[in-house]
Amino acid sequence: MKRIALALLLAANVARADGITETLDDRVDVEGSTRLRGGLLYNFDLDRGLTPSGNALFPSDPDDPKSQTRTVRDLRVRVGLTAHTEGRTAELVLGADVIDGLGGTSLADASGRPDNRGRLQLRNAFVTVLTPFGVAVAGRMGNQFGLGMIANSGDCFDCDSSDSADRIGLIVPVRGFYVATSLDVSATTQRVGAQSSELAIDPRNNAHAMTAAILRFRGDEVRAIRRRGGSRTVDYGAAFSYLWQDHDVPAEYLLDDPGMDPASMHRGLRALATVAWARIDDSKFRVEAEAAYVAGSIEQGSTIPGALVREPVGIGQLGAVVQSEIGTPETRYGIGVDAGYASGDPAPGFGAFPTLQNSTVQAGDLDGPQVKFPDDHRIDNFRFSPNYRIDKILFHQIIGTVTDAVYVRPHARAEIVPGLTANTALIASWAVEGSSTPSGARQLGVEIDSGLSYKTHDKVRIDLTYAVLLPGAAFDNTMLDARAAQSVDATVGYAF
Amino acid sequence: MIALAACIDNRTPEPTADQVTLPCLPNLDHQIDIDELPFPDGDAVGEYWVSNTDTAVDLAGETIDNAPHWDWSGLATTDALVDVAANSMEGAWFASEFPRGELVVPLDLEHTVLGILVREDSAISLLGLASESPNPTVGKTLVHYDTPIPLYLFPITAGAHWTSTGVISVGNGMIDGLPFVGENIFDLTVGDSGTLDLPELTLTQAFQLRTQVTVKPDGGPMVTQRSASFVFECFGEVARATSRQEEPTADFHVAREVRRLSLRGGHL
Repeated sequence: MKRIALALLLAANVARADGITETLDDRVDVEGSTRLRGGLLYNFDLDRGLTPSGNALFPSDPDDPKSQTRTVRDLRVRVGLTAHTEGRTAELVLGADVIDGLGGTSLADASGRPDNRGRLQLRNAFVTVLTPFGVAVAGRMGNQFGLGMIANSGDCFDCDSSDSADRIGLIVPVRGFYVATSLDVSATTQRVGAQSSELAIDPRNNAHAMTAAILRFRGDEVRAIRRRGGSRTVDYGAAFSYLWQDHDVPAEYLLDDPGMDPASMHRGLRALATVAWARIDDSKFRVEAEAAYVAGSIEQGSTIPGALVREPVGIGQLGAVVQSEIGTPETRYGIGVDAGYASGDPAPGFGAFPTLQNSTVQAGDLDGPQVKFPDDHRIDNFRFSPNYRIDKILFHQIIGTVTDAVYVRPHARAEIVPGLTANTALIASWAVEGSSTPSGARQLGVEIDSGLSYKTHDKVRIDLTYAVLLPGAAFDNTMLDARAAQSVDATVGYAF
Repeated sequence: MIALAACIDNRTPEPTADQVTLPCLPNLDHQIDIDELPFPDGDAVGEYWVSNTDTAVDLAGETIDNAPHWDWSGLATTDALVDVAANSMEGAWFASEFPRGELVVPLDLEHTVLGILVREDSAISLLGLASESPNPTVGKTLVHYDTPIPLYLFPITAGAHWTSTGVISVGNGMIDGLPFVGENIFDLTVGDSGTLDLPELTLTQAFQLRTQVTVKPDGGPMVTQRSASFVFECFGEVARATSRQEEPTADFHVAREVRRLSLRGGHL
């Protein structure tokens, strides 16, 4: 089963279309950034022993398994190229990332989940064409909507991956709104030939999405001008994305070598994601919220060709976040409260990243599939995009993302001297379904993340963060109570 | 703070979970090769729905779209979930008797009589039989065939047929504490592949394997027994119906025992 992803507006495109971006004399524009990170991760396995399946909550240092501390470091280089016609009626955008572990373990890889080490990722390769009807887009592009809770293009300073879509779309400005429609091909599988070219020999194997969105949106610069004039800016939008996949080739993602002629099987995925977003941007405060509901079914939930279950898998997932701050980007101080909710599924484990490794999940395990045939035919845990970050340790690294959880996050910041800001946040969280946690208790814990961030006008940024997680009863083991985890990390970045 | 805390030993031991790999995924190519039939290296358990009273069975099935379709999905209130274990030879009391033996499988639900299997180049073969313990109350069973009996000959394709005779020479046969000399004749036929409905899943390309075993003791009366089993790529035997003794018809309608794979063992 492919990950259910929304196909939504590319916020960057919208920002570009608002008329605020600077005029370029040249026909080709190159931009990019480098980011160097290093950190110490202390006791991320929480010293609570193994799960019933014999796994630690977090991998220890492979070179020194008894050590409490892991050292991580990585380098990311992000490059983007934009070429446009003389009249700027058409534009070509190319973008790629390389993340390298610098001979060690990258922060992105420390959890053992995604492996980005040394990998070249093509993030963008699309064209935009100004037509009498609006802006037409075609190609691979970042997938972002609202706060990025469900669709996140991974543009943040600390992001490790990106949510991309291969898309054909049209964005039409109508009476102050952007109306967008798009058709996505979310997955193209089934390799043919010895060269492993990823041609879809059967188009029914692709996961498709048809999206319609309407958005009232003002970019950062417009809102800053309006704040300076004492105006309040209210933006909002909604998107509806219908996803379908008729067939699937499980060998492509279950086997290292799928062979020359892997079997295809019926999938019958149908899902509708409805997302709403709103932002009130005032000269004194900001409140922003997003909510999404995903409903659907998978006619055939088995991933073994020829071995079929007869009941469909049902999907009902709800996620919501709110962010608030008294203060604006222009003020020296800011204080606010964020909160979020991701629906849960009573099956064991959080269901953040089900893999073959955790496929035989038992009660008390950290992760695993949320369906278990023949009795459990539902996947109801909502998963935030892993790039929607609320903390440093619990959700970011140990669980992997926000799912099956509710949290509150009071936060504050203060500018010490121009460019240097101190910030702190406290994240208290609980599981929605106690049966998903290692102990069965719902209290996930309290995490405090504090740091300094230094930014210069010439786009240099340095972040230093200390985080401590005081785990709740959810992570206690039968014989050992969970103990605090800590981390220190430093990030240096430069954009050009 | 981390530097101070780093002096404390890690209380979490190294993970004990094995690395999970999927050895096989069905490619539905209308044949089962030897690497597409599970043959565990160590101990393995499968859960089966078992009817061990006389049960009506349909071996012929229906023909739908020119392929057989067997509906074995019905469950009776008397059906029970039973663990069927396959074990390595390690520690078995008869291990030294079968130096080529690789796997031990139960021949009855009570696991009182075990079959000793070996995987050869193009077959999975039966080397002999043994009781679960060297001194059971009913008496020891220990049977060596002079040559291995191929239970599965690969590739398994529709229409395949083979017959093997397992000779039990003097000194090589003991059944329930009594000496046995004679032959076991195995006659196996692979039918067309088709769709098999089990209680919790449907298999779209299962092969039906008909087996008739004739036990011919020297100087004694012959006994025959039939069975029909279904095998599926990467799963192995997923269902089996065993006839009553001296069953006269190949398409028998009443089985002494029926076992069907359950998903509760976590196969999907």
